[in-house]
Amino acid sequence: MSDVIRELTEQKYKYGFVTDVAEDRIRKGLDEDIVRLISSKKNEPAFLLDFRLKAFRHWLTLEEPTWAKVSYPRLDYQDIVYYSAPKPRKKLASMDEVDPELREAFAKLGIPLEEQKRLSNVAVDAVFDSVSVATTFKKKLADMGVIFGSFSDAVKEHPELVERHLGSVVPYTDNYFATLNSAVFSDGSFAYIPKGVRCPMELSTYFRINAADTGQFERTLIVADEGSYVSYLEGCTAPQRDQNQLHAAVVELVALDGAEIKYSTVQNWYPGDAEGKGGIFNFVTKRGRAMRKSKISWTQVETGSAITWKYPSCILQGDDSVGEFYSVALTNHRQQADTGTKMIHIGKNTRSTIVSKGISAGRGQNTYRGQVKIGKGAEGARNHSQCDSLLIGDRCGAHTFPYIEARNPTAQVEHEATTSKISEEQLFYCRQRGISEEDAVSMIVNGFARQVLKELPMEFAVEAQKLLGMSLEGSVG
Amino acid sequence: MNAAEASLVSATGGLPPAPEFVAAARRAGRDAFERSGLPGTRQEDWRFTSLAPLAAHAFGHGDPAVPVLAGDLERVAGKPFGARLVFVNGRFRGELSTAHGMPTGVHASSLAHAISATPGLVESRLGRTAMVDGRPFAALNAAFLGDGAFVHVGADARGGVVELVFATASTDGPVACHPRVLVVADPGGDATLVETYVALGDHPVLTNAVTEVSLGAGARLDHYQVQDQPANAFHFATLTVEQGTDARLSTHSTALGAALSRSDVLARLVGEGAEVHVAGLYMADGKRLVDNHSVIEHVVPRGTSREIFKGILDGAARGVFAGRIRVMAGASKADAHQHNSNLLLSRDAVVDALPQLEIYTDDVKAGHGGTVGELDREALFYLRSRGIPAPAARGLLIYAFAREMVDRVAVPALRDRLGQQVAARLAGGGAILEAE
Amino acid sequence: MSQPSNGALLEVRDLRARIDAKEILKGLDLVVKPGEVHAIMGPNGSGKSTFAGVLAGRDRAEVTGGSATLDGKDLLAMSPETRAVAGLFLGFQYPVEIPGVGNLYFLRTALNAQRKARGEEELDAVDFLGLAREKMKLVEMDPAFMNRGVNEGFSGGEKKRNEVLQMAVLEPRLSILDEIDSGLDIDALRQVARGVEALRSPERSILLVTHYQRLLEYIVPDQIHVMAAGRIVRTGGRELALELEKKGYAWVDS
Repeated sequence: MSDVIRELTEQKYKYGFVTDVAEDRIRKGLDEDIVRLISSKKNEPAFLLDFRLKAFRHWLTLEEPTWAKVSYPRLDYQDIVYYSAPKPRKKLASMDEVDPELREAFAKLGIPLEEQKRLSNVAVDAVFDSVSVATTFKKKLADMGVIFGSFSDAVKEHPELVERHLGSVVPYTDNYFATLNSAVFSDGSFAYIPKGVRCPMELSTYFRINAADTGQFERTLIVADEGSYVSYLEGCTAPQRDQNQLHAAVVELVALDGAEIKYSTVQNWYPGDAEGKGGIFNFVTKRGRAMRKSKISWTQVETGSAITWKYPSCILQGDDSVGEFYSVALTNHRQQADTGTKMIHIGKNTRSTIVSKGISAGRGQNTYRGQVKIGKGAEGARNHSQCDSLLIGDRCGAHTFPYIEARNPTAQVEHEATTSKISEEQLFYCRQRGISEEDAVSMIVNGFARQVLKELPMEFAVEAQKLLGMSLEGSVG
Repeated sequence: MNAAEASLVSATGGLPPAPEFVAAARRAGRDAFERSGLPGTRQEDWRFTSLAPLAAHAFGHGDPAVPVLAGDLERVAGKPFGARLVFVNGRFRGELSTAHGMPTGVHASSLAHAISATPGLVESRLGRTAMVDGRPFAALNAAFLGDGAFVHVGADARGGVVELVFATASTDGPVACHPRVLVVADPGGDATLVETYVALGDHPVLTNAVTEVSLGAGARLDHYQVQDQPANAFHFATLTVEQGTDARLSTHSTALGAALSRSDVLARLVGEGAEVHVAGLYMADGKRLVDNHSVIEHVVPRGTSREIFKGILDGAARGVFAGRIRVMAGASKADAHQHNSNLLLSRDAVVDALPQLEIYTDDVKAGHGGTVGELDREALFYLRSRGIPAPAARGLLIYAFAREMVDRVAVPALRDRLGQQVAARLAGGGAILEAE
Repeated sequence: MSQPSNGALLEVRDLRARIDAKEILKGLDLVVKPGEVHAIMGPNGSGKSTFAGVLAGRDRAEVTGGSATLDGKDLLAMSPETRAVAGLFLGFQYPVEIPGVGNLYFLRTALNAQRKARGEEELDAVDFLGLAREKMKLVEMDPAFMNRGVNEGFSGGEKKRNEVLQMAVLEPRLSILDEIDSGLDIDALRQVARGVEALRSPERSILLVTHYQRLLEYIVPDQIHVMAAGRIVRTGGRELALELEKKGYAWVDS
C-alpha cells in the first residue's frame, strides 16, 4: 500500500504559478504610520481608521498564542509587507477592463471572470493579494437588493452597514491574529442580503495570494437580514514559494432572526514542499452570530497551508438558532492543522452539530480542537459532535481535543470520536473486485469524508473531491 | 514561594532522619516544589481548579501518635474485610491494623519498615514513576517521604485483598499529610489493593497521596481508591503506573467527599501487550469541586487501555474530567477507548469534559465518547406514574446511572460498601438498595 | 508459465504457503474445468480459507512453492486486481464494511475498472442501473441496500447476498465462495444458493469452500474435495459429503 500512499501524498501543487503584475506595495514593517498609510490609501472614513488604530494599540499588548498543537519558527512581524495591490486600481466599468494578466491568472485557476463563461448561478468576487479585482453579476444581484462586492467598495457605498456590523461578531480585541487583521486588513468581500430575500445565486470569493513577502489580511462580512438566505463559497490558492507567508483573515457572519447563512470553504493555499519548506501560515478567525430561529452552517475542506489554525464558530444567541460545522482537514508532508469549532449556546433550544473528519498522511499532524459551551440560560440546548480521524502511514499524527462545558441541566451534549486507518482488508476487498489500489485508497478516503462533502454546493464538491486526490464521480451528492 | 506554599513545605523540618536515598528524594521533591510552587489556573492542567482556598488555612504537621479509637475509625472507614493496614497522619498504626487474611505471596508493611528492612528493593522502585518535575503535588509528597505503605506482590501471589486506610486526624488545627504507597508486583503476581482515604476531627485536612505502581511481566493488580473525606477537606491523589509485558492493571476510584478533590492518573504501558483499565465515579454537591485528570501513554505495541468516568453533579458543584490517551510512534496495534458521562442535577452545577486522543501511529484503534445531560424525563415520569414520589424516583435513576461503576468493583464487600455510600447520598437512601 | 492441461480453467500444482513461520498449504493439487462446480470441505484450520485467499492474492500468506494458473496464466504473478480482471472472484467469508462508499457506486466502479482493463466499453450510469436492478431481483436483494455504504451495517445474511450480487454483476469465470453459507439461516441460505445456481453455465466454474455439507444440498457440486492439514486428501462425488456428515472429519484423518 505504501507506493500508492506515496503517490497520493506526493502529488504536486497545481496552482503554484506566479503572475507578473505591477504591484503597489508599501515598505515592510508595522507601526502606527503603516496603519494610517493603509487607511489613507483606501480613503477610509474616520470610523474605520479609528477601528484600525484601536486594534493596533491593543495588538501591541498581546502575545502570540502558543496553545495550538502546531510548531513553526517565530514570525518577524516587522519583516512583512502589509499592503500590496495589483495596480492600476481604478474603478472598472466592466469585466473587460480587468487587467488581462489578472484575468488570465484567474482563468488558469478555473475562475473565468467573464460572466457568460461562468456557471450562471455563481457570482464571483475575485480577490488578488487581498484586493478585490472584480465582481461578477453585481448588477443582477443589485436588482434584488443584494449587495455583493469588495469590502472597500462597501465601505464607500454602504458605510452605515459596515460600521454597524464590523467587529460585532469578532471584536478587535478578540485574539492576536484577529486583532492584527483589524489593524491592517486590506480588502475582502462584503455581502448584505435584505429582509426576506433568498439570494438567487451562490456568492463566491476567490482569494489568490501572488506577491512575495506580503502578509494577507482579508476581512469578510456577511449580513443576512431577517428571513433571508445566502450560500457563500470561498476558495483560495497561492504560488509556490520557499518563504512562509502569513494569512490572517477574519470572517464575520451575522444571521438576523430567521436568516440562514451557509458558508463553504475549499482551502488550498500552497502547503509547502515535501520537506516542509515554504507554504502559507493560515491563522484565521471565523465566527457567526445567530439570532432567533436563524441558522449558520460552516462547511470546510482544508487541504492546503503549511499551518492551519482556524475554528469557524457559532454564537447561538437567539432562541431556536442552529449552528453546524462540517469539516474535512487533510494534512500530508509536514503540514499541520489545528482546526475545529466553537459552539456557544446562549439561547433556549439552540442546536448544534459538529462533524469533523481528519485525514493525516506523510508526516502531517492533524488536530481537532472544539468547544461546546452550554450557557446557563440555554434551556433545552442540544449538541452532537462526531470527530473521526483516518491515518495513512505510520509517521503522521491525529489528535482530538474536544472541550465540553455544560452549565444547564436540561442540555444534552454528546461527543463521539474514532481513530482508524485504512485497513488492509478494505483495500484487498476493493482490489479483489478489480479496482486499482490507488483508486481504492481514494474511494475509501472519500467515503470517509462523504458526510462532509455532501454538504458542499455542487460546484465545490467536485473541486473538493479532486483536491482530496481522487476520482469520485457520482459517489457524492 | 508565597506564604501558603512556604507553610506547606515548612513542616519538612520535623521529619525523622532517613537513609541517604530517601533524604535525596526529599531534597529533590522540596527543590522541585520550591521551583514550581502551587500550580495556578493559567496552567492548562489546572485551569478549572483554583488552589486559592488553600491559602486560607495554615496546615500543620499532624501528630502521628494522636489517640484514635478503633470504633471511630470503623465509623468513617467501615469494617475491615481482610488484611488492613491503618495509617494516621501518614504513619503506620499497628494497633489499629490487622494482618489477618493477608493473601499468600503478598507482603504489606509500612514504607518506613520496608526502607530499613529491604532498602535495595525500595530504592530501586521508589520515585521511579512519580516524577517530581512539573508535578507540584508529587514533589510536595516527595519532600515528606518517609512513611506510607509498601506492598510487595510476589510471583506466587494469586489474588486476595489488602486494604490500606489513610486517616488524616486533626486535633487542634488544620493538618496536612502526604502518604506514599509503593506497590511492586513481581512477574506473574496477582493481588487486589484497596486504598481508603478518610479524616477524623473537625478541622480542615489536606491529604496529598501518591501511589506508585510497578507491575512486572504478566502481573495483575486490581486497584481501588475510595475518597470519603469530610466537606471541608482538600484531597489530592496521584497514581503513577508502569506496566511490563502483558501486565494488567485495573484501577477504580470513587470520589465522594472533600471540598476540593483532584486526582491524577499517569499510566505508561511500557511492556508489550499491557492492559490498563481506569474507571472513576465522582459525586459532588454544594460548592464542591471534583477534578479527574489522567494521561495514559501507549509506548510499545499491543497495548490496551480503557477509561470510563462518570460524574454526578448537584448544587453548585463543578466536575472536571480531562483524560488524555497518547499513542506514541511505534505503539502499533494499540487499542484505546475512553468515555465520560455526566449527570447534571441542578441549574448551578457545571461540568467540564475534555476527553483527548493524541495519536502518532496509524495501526491503532482508538475512540472516545462523552455525554452531558439531565435525568431522563420520560423515565422519571414513568416511575412517578407508578406511584414513586419524585425525590425517590430521582434517587433511583441517579443510582441507576452510578450503578455501572459500583458494579465494576470485583471485591463483593467493597462493592456493597460503595453501593451503600452512593445510595446514602441520594434521596431514598437505603431504600434504593433494598429494592435491588 | 505452464500450459493448461486438458483445458482446465483453474490448475493448481503442489501449492505451498505459510503464514509467518507456519506452513499452512503443504502441496495442494486441484484442477477445475470450465462449467464445473467443485466443493472443498474440511475441518477448521485445514487451510481452506488460506487457499481461497492465496488464489485471490491476499498477502496474509506467503507462497513458498508450486503453481496456480487461470486459463494457463500464472495467477501468482498477478496483483489482486489483475486476477479480478482475469475473471477470478472471491466471495468473502467476512465481507468488509467500507463506510461512506455507496454500494452501487462501488459495484459500478469495480465493473468498469474490469471492463476498461479488458478493453471493453464502460457502462454509463443508466445502463449499469438496469443491469444492477436485474441482478438484484435475481438474488432477491432489497434495492434499499444499494445506496448504503458497502456492507455498512448489513446483517450477516445481507452481506452474503451482497457478495452474490457482486458476483452476478461481475460475471467472473471462476467464483471462489469462501463459507458463503456461514451464519445464514435456512431461508437466507436457500436464497443465496438460488443466486449461485442461477449463475451456473458451461463457461463458468465455481469453487465452494465450506465446512458443512448443508450447502451442497442446494448447490450440487460435480466434485467434492476433502482438505486436511494443507492438502487435498480425498476427492469424490456427492456421497463423500454425506459420508463426512455421518462420520465427521476425524474420519478423513484415519
